[in-house]
Amino acid sequence: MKARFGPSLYFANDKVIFDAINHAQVNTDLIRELLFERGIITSPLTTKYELAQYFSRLTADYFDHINIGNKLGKISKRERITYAEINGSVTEQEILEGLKSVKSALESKGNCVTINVSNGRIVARLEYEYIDYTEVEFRQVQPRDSIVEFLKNESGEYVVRSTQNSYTDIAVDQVFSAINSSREIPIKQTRISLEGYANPVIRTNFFNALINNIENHSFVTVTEAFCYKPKIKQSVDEEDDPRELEDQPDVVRVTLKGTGVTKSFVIDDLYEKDYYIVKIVWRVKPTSRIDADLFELEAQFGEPISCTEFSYQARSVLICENGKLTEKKRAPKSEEQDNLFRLIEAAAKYALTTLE
Amino acid sequence: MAETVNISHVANKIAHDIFKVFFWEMHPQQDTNFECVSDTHKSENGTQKRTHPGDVVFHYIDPYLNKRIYLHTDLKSYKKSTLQQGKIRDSLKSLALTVECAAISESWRQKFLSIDQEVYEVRGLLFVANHDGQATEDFAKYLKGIAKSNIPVAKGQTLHILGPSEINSLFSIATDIKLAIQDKTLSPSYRFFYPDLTLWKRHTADDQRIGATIEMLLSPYFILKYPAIVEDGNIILRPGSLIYYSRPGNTIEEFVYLLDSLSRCQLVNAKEQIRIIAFKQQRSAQIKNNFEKAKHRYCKMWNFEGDREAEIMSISIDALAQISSNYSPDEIGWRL
Repeated sequence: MKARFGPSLYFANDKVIFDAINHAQVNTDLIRELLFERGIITSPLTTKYELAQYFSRLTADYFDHINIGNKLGKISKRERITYAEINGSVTEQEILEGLKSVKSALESKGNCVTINVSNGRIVARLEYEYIDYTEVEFRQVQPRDSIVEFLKNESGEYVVRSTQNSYTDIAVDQVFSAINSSREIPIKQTRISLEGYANPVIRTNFFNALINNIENHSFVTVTEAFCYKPKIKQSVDEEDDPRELEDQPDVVRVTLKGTGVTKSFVIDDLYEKDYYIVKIVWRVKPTSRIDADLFELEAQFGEPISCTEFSYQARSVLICENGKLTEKKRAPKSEEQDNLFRLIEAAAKYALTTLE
Repeated sequence: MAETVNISHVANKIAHDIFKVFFWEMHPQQDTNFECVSDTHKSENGTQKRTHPGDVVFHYIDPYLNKRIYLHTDLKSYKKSTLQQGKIRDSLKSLALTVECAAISESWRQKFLSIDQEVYEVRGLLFVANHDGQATEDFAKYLKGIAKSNIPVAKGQTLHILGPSEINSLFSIATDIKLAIQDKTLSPSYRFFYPDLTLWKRHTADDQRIGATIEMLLSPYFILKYPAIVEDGNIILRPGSLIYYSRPGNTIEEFVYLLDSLSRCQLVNAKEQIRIIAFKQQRSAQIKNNFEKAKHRYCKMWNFEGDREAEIMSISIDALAQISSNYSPDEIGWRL
C-alpha cells in the first residue's frame, strides 16, 4: 500500500471537478442533470465546456463527489481468478470460523464482508475500496468487490478459488492463518507454479498441455500469446561496457496476436531464443454440440520470471449461428464460468504432471 | 388591476420574509409586463405574442462572474388538487421565452435595469409555493418528470427553480438569521463567504456585503462570516463562520469531507468560532454523533494533537431551532 496522508477522499476543488466532468467520457446530459439537481435549467444549446465551467463554480460536497465519481462510471473490470488446493483435511466449521475472524478484522477497517453457505460451497464476498493515488481524483477511490470461495473438488476435498489481486490474496492468507491458529497440524495452500522449472521449453509445454486438455472441449485456436525472456543479467565486467543501450538490444516481452499464433514461424524463432509463454488466450468449443458457441479463455502467470501467481478467466462467449462463427459476443453466464474454472484448474493440474 | 396589486403585495412579502436577509434587491416596478420583440414568440393559439409577463425582478452581484444577475421572476402557488405537470412545463416554457426577450428588449431594460453601464445577465426564476401545505414534495416529483430538452431556453441562458421544499428551507434559514441577530449570536454585519477558487476568482472585496447567489442558496451548504460583537468594550461574540448545512447527516464520511473543505478554505483557526446548522427537517437522529465521530476521525487521519486538535474539536453542529413546515406568502394561484 502506498503512503497515505489524511483521508482517503480529499476535498475536490473546482479545477478537479471541471476536469472530471469535462472529460471526453462524460455525457453532456450528465452535467445538465447535476445542474438540474440544483434547480438550474440550461439551454440545450449550451456547450459541455460551458456547462462544466458552470458546475465547477458551485459548492460541491461529499455526496456530489461520490455522485460524480459514480456517474463517471466505475471501472468495470472483470478480474482474474486463482485457486489453491488445501494440503490437509479441513472441515466446513473450521473454514467458517476462519472466515468470520477475517470478516471482523476487515470490517473494522470499513470494508464489508458477507458469507454465504449453499450446496456445500462457502462463498465470502469482500467489498472494499481500492485506492490508487496515481489516478485522477475522482477515480482515486474505487469501490471494488472480490470473491473467496471454498468448494469441494471431485475427491471431496476443499479447494479455495478467489479473485486474484493483492487485496484478496492477503485476505486468503489471513483466512488460512486464522484456521491454523486453532489447529495442531497446519493446513497449507498448494498453488500452480512453474518455479521449479527453469527450462523455457518446459514452461511453454505447460501451456500447450493446458490448452489442449480442457475436458469435454476441443481446442480451436490460440489468439494471443505473451512470450517472455528475463532480462540478461550483466556480468561485472560488462557493467562498464561503454556501448549505448541501442547497440545491445534486449527484448523482454513479445506479444503475438491473431489466430493460430503458437503455430506461426515467429513463435518458433522466439522459442529458439529461449522465450517462453507466460500468458495465453485461446478458444475452445464444447464437444457436446456441433453448433455450440465458442469460449475464449485466458491463463497466465502474474510473476513471469518465477512463473508464479497463476490466474485465469473465461473472457467471452463467441456466438455461433448455423454452425458459423459470428462477430457477436456475450459475457459467460455464471454457471458457464463455474464449469470452465473447474476445467481450467483440472487441466492446469494435469499439465503440471506432464512436465516431469 | 386587482391581481397586479395582489402580486406586488406577495412579492414584497417574499422579499421581506426571505430574500432581504440574503441581500437580494428588488426592483420597485409594479407592472412588470414588457413588450415582446421576437417574431418567433407565439401564443398558444398561434398569434404573435405582444407582451411577456413577470411578477417581480430580484437582482444581486455574482462575485465570480463579476456581473449583476437579474432574476425575472414568475410567482406561482398551487394546492394539492390543482398541481399538474403540464402547468409546470407551460410555465417553464413561457419563462424561457420571456427571458430570451428580456435579454434583448429595450422595453425590459428601461423598466428594470437599476444601474446603467453595468455588466448584467437576465435569468428566469420560477418561484412555486404550495399554499395548502398538502403536496410540498409532489412538485419536485412532477418537475423531475419534465423533459428539460423541450424547454426552449435560448443559448447561454439559464432558468432557476425554487419549489416549495426549497422555499421552506430558505424561509427557515432567513428566520434563523434574523433571530440569531436578535439573540446576538450573529453580528448584523454578517456577509456571505465566497472563497477564491482555482478557475474562478472573487471580483469583490472579501469584506464586501454582497448577496447570496441563488446557486449558493441551493448548495449542499453555504457559509456566512461575521465579525465580533463588542459591547461596552467586552467581546460578547467572537468572530466566526456560520454554516447552513442541507444534508440529513446520516454518515460520518460527509462530515469528514466537510471538515476538509472548511480547512481548505482556511476557515479553521483558534480565533474564530465555527458553527454548523443543519436546516433540513428530515435529518438523521445520529447527526450529532456522526459529526463528533467525524471530528475525531479527521484529527486521527492528520495526526492532529494539542491546539490543532482543539480547533477542530471546537466546531459545533446544531439543528435549526424552528423549521417552517410550510411557507406560502399567499394564495397566488397558477396564472399563465
